[in-house]
Amino acid sequence: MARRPPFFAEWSVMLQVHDKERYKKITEEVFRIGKGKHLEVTIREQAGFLTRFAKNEIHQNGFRDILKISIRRVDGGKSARVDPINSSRAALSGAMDRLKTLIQSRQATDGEPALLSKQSYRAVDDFDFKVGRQSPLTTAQALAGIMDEIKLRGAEASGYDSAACRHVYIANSNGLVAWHRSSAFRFGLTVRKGQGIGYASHFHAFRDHLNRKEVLARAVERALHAARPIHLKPGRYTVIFAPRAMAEFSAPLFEDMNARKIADRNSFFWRKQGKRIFSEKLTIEDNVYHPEQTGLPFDGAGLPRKKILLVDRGVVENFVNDRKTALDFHVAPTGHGAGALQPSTMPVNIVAGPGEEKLSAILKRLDHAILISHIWYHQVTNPNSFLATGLIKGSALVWQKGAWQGGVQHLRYSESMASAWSRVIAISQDNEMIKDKEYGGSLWPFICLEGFRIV
Amino acid sequence: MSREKILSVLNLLHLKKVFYGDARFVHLKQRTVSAKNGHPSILEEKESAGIGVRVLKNEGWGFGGTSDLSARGLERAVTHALAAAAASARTRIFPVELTREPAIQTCWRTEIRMDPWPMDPAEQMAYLMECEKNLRSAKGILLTESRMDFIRKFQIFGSTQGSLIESRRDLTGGGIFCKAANGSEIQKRSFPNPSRDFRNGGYEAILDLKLKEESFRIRDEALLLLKSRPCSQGKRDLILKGSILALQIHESLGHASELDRVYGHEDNFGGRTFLKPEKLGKGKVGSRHVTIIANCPTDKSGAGFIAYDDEGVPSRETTVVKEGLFTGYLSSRETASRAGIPHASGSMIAEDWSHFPLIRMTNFSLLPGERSFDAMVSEVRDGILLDTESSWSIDEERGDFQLGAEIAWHIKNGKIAGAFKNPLYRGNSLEFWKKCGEVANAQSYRITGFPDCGKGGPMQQAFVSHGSSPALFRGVECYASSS
Repeated sequence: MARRPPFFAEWSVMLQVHDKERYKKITEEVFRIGKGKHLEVTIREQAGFLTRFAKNEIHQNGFRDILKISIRRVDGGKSARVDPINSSRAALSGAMDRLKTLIQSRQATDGEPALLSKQSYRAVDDFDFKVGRQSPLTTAQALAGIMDEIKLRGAEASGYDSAACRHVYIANSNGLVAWHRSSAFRFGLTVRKGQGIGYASHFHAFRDHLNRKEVLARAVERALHAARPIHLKPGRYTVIFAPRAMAEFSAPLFEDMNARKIADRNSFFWRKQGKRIFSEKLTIEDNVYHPEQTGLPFDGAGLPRKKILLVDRGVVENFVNDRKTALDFHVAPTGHGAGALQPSTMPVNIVAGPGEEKLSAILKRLDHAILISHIWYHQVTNPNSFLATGLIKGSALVWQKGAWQGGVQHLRYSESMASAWSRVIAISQDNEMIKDKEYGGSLWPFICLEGFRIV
Repeated sequence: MSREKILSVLNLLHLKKVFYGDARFVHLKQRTVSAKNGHPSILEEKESAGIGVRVLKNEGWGFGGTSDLSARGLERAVTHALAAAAASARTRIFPVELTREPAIQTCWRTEIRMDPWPMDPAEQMAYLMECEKNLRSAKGILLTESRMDFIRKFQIFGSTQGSLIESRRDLTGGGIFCKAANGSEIQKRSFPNPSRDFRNGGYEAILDLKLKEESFRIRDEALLLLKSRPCSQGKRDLILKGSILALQIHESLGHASELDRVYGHEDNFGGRTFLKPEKLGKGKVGSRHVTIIANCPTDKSGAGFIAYDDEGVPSRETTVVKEGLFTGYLSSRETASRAGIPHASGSMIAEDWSHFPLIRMTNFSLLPGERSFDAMVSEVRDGILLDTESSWSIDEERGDFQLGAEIAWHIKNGKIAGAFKNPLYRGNSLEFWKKCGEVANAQSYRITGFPDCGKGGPMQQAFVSHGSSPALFRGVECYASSS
């Protein structure tokens, strides 16, 4: 009898990296059961682990393996979607019965387009085989070293460390097959040292690009710079948004760059296409093929994703759409349909054009500025002007007389996002990829704005 | 999935000599039916199942979750949890102790009167189409949306301490929404609130909401807002209806009372709390009118109601604020033990099987006062009445906040005298609740259920509910989002 490997053998606790053959088998079974029905199957599988730490110790540590299947049936311009409980024949047959009921319950056609035929895709390189060598032990060892360093500095840290491998496989009964796998390594922390709070995070698809010590050094540096409390009076200030803060600040604007919302007059950008409403310094595209981006080369229906110029030197140029919207309004599809992958149609691979000078060079030119690393509870309070409020998370750093003078906490702003983008005075060359959602990410430089309203 | 499989996982954990272990099998079913702009929109059903295994060994917590329910999958989840626990133990500073809780063997389920699952989805869609027709029955309406969701969560929880709890929760939610436009000016109204209102219950919860009937009012109020002035700036007497008071309770006292924030567990995401342990039993956080009960036993229809949490702890009635005095935290077995509290509050909830449970609000309610809502309004000389949350923003300690509502009604000499648009108010949690002059009586008490309370990093979502009657706050700074 073969000996079983020891229970704690490292191989048994590493992330499993699957191949697409198992997804192919599931979709073939769905099409067999469906007997000629027009079906689209989306399979998502994720294996990953997450470690959370607080006050210099790990308090949560876990794995998860998830397989999700979603089946959409299209019939005479009507569609319905059912996610079966698993990939067993009984579950898939049950899903087929439910689809029949749901389709029949739709009284009239929704104008749902027929399924796509076979497509070809450009590759996105964001998968690292090393994700299969990750284990809680390797992470805990790395984090133990980080904690030791924090303790030596007399500081306290809380944060997370995660690694994940994701697959998306879409196939339809019309011959379309789309498959992509990606890896994701993330580390982020909040460091408290005296009165100062410093936040830093990093994401990369490739393990060797994640340097935890460098992230720690950034967070510690910010906490140290913020150690001296400074009080700021309400007013308008020159501010520098770090990449994470700008990704958070601008997210609601991108939700409105959806062609359907424009057509419904349900977007801030209604009647603004072709107009210069932002600073000429600002150029933004949605581009999953950018070398530093991560994400899918297709949308939720398997349509190839296109690179879309959203803002060109301050001019609102294009919006993204799904296939139905493109057909309804006779425009070219952009490959941004949500399908089973995301809640709505929107740009998901933001690339904001970097500037020509380093942040350090921008700072040298400024008499006074506030560096914002992270914001939260950012809310639109008036959709007509895109006025928003929110709070700066952790410490914002105050730059004056060529040096960091200290930190400000509990800062609230009230500012129109659109108006803020019209007051960009500098954009840095240095940029950072921010990934907070399952698919896609935002690549932002440091953005310097004047007249930002602190209340 | 059977009890036997849970028991086999627990046997494996006993063999591995864990200090504590639990296993949660969760089977989720969800149906969404929606209509938009007068047409059917989403029609989908989702089902998922999996198991989450949590262990505590050598002071380290570990978790393994999988949707692979084969014997190999379960064994792998256990292996993962044990490996993660061993790794966690490497950095442990504070010893982990758990409160002593009884082993429970029981079954519980939500009472429902009308099971939504055997119903024809066409009937549910037809109801929404009537709402749409009503919402769109006036000129100036730009966009409409109507939606209902049905969720059935079946769970088997077992622990190495002998608990075995089966439960079935039925959660039903619905809502309507419209936007009105005049030129570039756009105003919105929703009912019961923008994220819909969820209850423990079946299809009867949709009928109780009276979405069809309310759609005319919501339509008219959206149109009225287009002609209304912005709320002027100044300190005013403010009455919050349940549709926004729920959010005020949630953000400023609910999250603040989560004990994991005291220990920094949420420092990198959800922040900390102004409710420090030294204030427990001593600190005034509100006026004598403010009494807040967590796991409120009378609010069983609330979306947050549970009988037992995801540690197998009975959901215990916990007085968080008693007549203004801070008296209790929401806690887990670990955090309660660390704080010297004899029993956990029974508030540990995970989004599903694939997540580690966190301390969450369940039913978290403000108790009603004595006088009627009408009597309360009649004594306001110059104030505003806010309806339906619109925006919310609060600092890392849950202190300074700003909240917005969809509509403000001007109260002049005890009577409604018109509407204001884009209203906002701000304050500090501690001072704000001390300004509470009165809470209306039980006649106007209602429970608001949210499906999307976010916590953790990466974020988990949970259902929560807040019971309240409208409450009056004196001298609150109010303004409009454009001022």
